[in-house]
Amino acid sequence: MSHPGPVVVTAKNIKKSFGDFKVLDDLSFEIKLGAIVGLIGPNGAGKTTTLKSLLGLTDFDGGLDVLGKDPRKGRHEIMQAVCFISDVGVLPRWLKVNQALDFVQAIHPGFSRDKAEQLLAATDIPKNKKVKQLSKGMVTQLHLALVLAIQVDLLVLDEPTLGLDILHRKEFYDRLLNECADNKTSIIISTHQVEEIESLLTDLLFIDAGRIVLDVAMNELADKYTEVIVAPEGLELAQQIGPLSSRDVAGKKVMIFENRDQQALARLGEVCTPSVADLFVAKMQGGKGR
Amino acid sequence: MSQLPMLIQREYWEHKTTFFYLPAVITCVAFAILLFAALGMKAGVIDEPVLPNAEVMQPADDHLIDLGVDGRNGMSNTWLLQFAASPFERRQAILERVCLGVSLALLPVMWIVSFFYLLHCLYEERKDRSILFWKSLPISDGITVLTKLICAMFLLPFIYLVFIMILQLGLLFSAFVFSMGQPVDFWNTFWLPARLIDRWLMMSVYIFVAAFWCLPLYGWLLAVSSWCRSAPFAWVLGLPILLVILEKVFLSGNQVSDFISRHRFSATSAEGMTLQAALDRVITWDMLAAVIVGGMLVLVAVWRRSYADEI
Repeated sequence: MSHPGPVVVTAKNIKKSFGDFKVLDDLSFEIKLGAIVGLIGPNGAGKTTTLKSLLGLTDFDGGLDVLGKDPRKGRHEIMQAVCFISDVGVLPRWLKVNQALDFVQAIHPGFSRDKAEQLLAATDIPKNKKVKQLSKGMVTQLHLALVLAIQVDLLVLDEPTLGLDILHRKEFYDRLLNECADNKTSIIISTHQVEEIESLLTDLLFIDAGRIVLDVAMNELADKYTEVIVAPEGLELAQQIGPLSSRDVAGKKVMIFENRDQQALARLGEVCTPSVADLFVAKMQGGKGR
Repeated sequence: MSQLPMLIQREYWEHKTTFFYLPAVITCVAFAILLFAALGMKAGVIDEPVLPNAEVMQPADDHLIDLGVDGRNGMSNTWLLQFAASPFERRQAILERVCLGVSLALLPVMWIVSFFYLLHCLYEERKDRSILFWKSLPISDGITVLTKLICAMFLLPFIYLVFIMILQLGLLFSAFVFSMGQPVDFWNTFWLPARLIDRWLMMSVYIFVAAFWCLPLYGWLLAVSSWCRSAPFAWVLGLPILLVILEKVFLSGNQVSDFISRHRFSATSAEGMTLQAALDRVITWDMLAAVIVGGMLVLVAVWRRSYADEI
């Protein structure tokens, strides 16, 4: 990745397997300070296991450095500077909203009660209700308010908007971006809804079968990947240049090329930068073909 | 360590029903029964109890009380008068049994509550996935397990002790209601021989001794809770039973079953509560073994918690 500045996470050859099944297969990547990394992969690719490894929630082989510490040894120390939101189901159901505030305030040295109250005031969440009495959207809002009120260096989000409707998903990411834009928080986020976070990301990590299949900065994407709506007369040449993927859209051939001469591609037809979702599909199909 | 008060508070929030409301309701119901029994006996609706020992009926020479018929309600409370006339030591022995009796409305409940509290505390958080929330905060696994242990060893027993105290006061209040209008001195007849203050101090000492005496059981419950992936109740009972059977069959011994039965919850409180009996246990090899075995099991729970994941 080309994002400048110091590194907050370094993973080197992380491996984990359940019996013969390799969940993480020699995974290596870095997260730079201030980066917003999208961890994208199909179901069972190892996204959650990767994120849990960062948080010291699961054991693994290999080297992992999170803010200068090994998460296997000092999870609770790392958690002073790292926050985590998994999908909506992890807040304890019996906890009341004001108890959650009291608890995090007493436990976390970096928590700002005022900020949490301020974030909650912008929602409809009643303070005296238990988590189990709140709607899914409210639980996520509450969790986000708790987490955003903590000054952290790294935010780990694992499918944070799973099960939410589009309004709540949009609100979640807007708020996340508003709160994190002006400070030096690095974020790694895994999701299926790639289109919704595409605009926030600074870096992309594609993962498949426990391996990193793409590690690229968003601002390099346009240089490396080109999508061409190939004109019928350019088809033969296009095949010779060697597309990463090819698909039919409304009777036209749309191809994605990797590291090819842009000027040569421009002669084939209409050229643009592929969306992350299309690139993801191309990469996954390319991987299967190899 | 500065997190400890809030972590204990958290346990109390989560388990308020069994830590507070349950003993409160039992205490209220038991007190209501005692009071209605006292009023019923006073009104002659309910038969008076038969004193447990016939000799108690014999009035003591030095403590004769006028055994006259109550003039006001025209009813003879012979039981009360005989009780009042019996020697101090006899009244003390009877009240000892009655006080222990009313505490039995709460003690077995407390044992059941602490058994399931410890068995489920590290299991349910993995099952309902809330462990991902707790572990996303800077709380070490050691202090998490220690909190659960402190709640079972001290918080829960002291909350229940307070309700036992209230219930025993309720018992004496019922006795006071029963003896109203009778030629009986409540203070000398009931309050002094009941020795409530002594009893409460003794129970406080007992809670400390029992906490360490039962450490193997607490540790075992925590270890199973931290490690098993399903059916914790079957594991927590099944493994010791298997161990006892194996020892019996292959080694023809009963060391394990002896150790288990000596360190069960009720082992420290079912017998007569004397300060000496409690203190006698403190410096023994058996106590040392309990602390070592229990401590190791607690460490197993801490170690497993550090690898714990949702199930």
